[in-house]
Amino acid sequence: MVATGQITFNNLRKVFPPRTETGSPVEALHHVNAEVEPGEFIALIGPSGCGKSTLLRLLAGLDQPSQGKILVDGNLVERPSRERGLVFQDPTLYPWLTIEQNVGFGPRLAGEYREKRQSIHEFIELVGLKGFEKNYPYELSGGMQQRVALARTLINYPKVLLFDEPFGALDAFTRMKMHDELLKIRERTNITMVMVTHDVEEAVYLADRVFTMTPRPAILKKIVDVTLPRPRRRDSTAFIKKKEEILDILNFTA
Amino acid sequence: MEKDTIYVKKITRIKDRHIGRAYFASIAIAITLIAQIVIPKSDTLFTKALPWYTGLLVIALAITTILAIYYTFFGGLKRFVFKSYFIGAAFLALGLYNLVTLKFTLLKPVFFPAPEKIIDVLIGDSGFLLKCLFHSAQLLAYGLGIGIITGLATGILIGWYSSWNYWLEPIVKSVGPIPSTAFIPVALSAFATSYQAAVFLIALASWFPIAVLAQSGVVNVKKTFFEVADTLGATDFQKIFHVAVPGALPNIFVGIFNGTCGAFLTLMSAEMIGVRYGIGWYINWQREIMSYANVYAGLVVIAVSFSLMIAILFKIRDYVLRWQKGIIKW
Ligand SMILES: Nc1ncnc2c1ncn2[C@@H]1O[C@H](COP(=O)(O)OP(=O)(O)O)[C@@H](O)[C@H]1O
Ligand SMILES: [Mg+2]
Repeated sequence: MVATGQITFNNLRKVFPPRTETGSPVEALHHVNAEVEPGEFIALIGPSGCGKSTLLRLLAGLDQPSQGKILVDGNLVERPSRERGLVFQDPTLYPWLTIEQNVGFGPRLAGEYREKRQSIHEFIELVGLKGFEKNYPYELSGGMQQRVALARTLINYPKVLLFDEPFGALDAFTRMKMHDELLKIRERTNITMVMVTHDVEEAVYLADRVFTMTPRPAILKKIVDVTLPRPRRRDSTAFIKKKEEILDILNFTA
Repeated sequence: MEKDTIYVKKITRIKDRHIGRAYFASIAIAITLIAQIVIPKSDTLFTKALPWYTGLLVIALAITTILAIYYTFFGGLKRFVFKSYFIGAAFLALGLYNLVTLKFTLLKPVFFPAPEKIIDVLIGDSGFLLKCLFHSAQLLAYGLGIGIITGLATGILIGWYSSWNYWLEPIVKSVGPIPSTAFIPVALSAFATSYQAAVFLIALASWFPIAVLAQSGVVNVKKTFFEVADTLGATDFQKIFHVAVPGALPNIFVGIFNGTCGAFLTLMSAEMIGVRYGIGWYINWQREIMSYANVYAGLVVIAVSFSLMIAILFKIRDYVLRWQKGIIKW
């Protein structure tokens, strides 16, 4: 199998028009250049307002860059596609669909809901929600809903999986559990993953490389290689050192 | 020991029951029945006595008493016990009306017929009333059906496509708020038959609220729902039917409810001005020939069938919107 999910950010710039008549335009991304290898796990970290969500939305194809381009496996990203799945901070499950139907939403759009029945159940099981097929989203906790959102994206076998602070609303224990489940899924599927987070520990625990970003100018300040062996221990000296290195770059120490 | 606790439990359970409330309905009906039997008919009325009203009271008394006794011993029947006060009060009110009409003729008998005469019409004229009811239902179904379809189409189009919005919304916003009955003269001259005119007016009356609420429903669906659909491979068309419409359903139901009420109102007006047959027409006709017992009977039929219709509509809504549990419903 040819490895897929290679991403190139080429001189990417995004300027938003002013929100008010007297305001000035907002430069949410100021010339970003980077490469992501197939199957890599990238964490985007930085203070809020530094353009993390903007970068992710451009990659998803939900917004268009003002300048520059994004390539996935050499193809220009022009519009959203099922090859690039996105998991939002809120689970954004369709409240009118059952868990099963939410997970089967992609297959339904593709007209293959029936053929994918088996697969839908497998993905529900994969995220640990067997038995909840017929429930509606309001009956599930936030963490469970976020797993459904993950399964709903995974079933489309995307080349790239994007996360915008997916576990921000979860409690610490649920979040740690989700981290391990996510890593397991990654091992099995080898999907390229890009996750926005504001949690340095989360970034160091999950990512192969951490992209640190700063606002004004909104640039990719530094790329940090997290070469720690897996499974990683959050309390190891090397782990804590990595965290400090990143915090240093973001100017949060000394 | 164990038996004792069970026994105590039973006692307290029975004690917990609202016995007084449960029997209120039957006691009230009994009082009405006694008044009907004991107090003689007014001697200014020369019509022959009819058994219907007494019969109705006897049946109601029997049913409510059986329910209350069942409740005393076995519990349950929450709805009946809850409604008991209301049922009792309703029969007392009916009894009072019976007193001022049949017993003491305090009101003009021509305009205020006794309950037994109204029931007499309901029974004696039931065949014709049913025929009228069917006729009305058919007319309503045509009008409301067209109103719902065109209303949904209009609302979705102007909610989703800016070009449709540009051309259609001004028309919706200017024509819609005009009461459809104001179009009666226009409709009567524009259509070949008054039946077609009535279908048009009913459709018009329901079209507007459905269109407006479907539009606001579509517009207010969360933006991220569409973005999720985008990243899951949805086409524009799929986003309408898989996201916009289901997301707008709560609003659409409010629209259909309002539209149904408007349609019903228009139906009655249409039947009173030109359409032959139908319940509205029946009432108007009976009023002209001064048979007020028939007018009241017609009103009873309308009240019962309309509330039945609304109840069914609510049931459908509760089923379709079952995913909304926990969200406050109107
Ligand atoms: N649609 C928009 N219109 C105008 N400004 C925007 C828009 N989206 C984001 N911005 C601005 O762009 C900057 C980066 O936003 P964002 O990417 O959401 O930051 P982050 O996700 O890192 O917190 C912010 O200053 C924000 O106000
Ligand atoms: Mg953000």
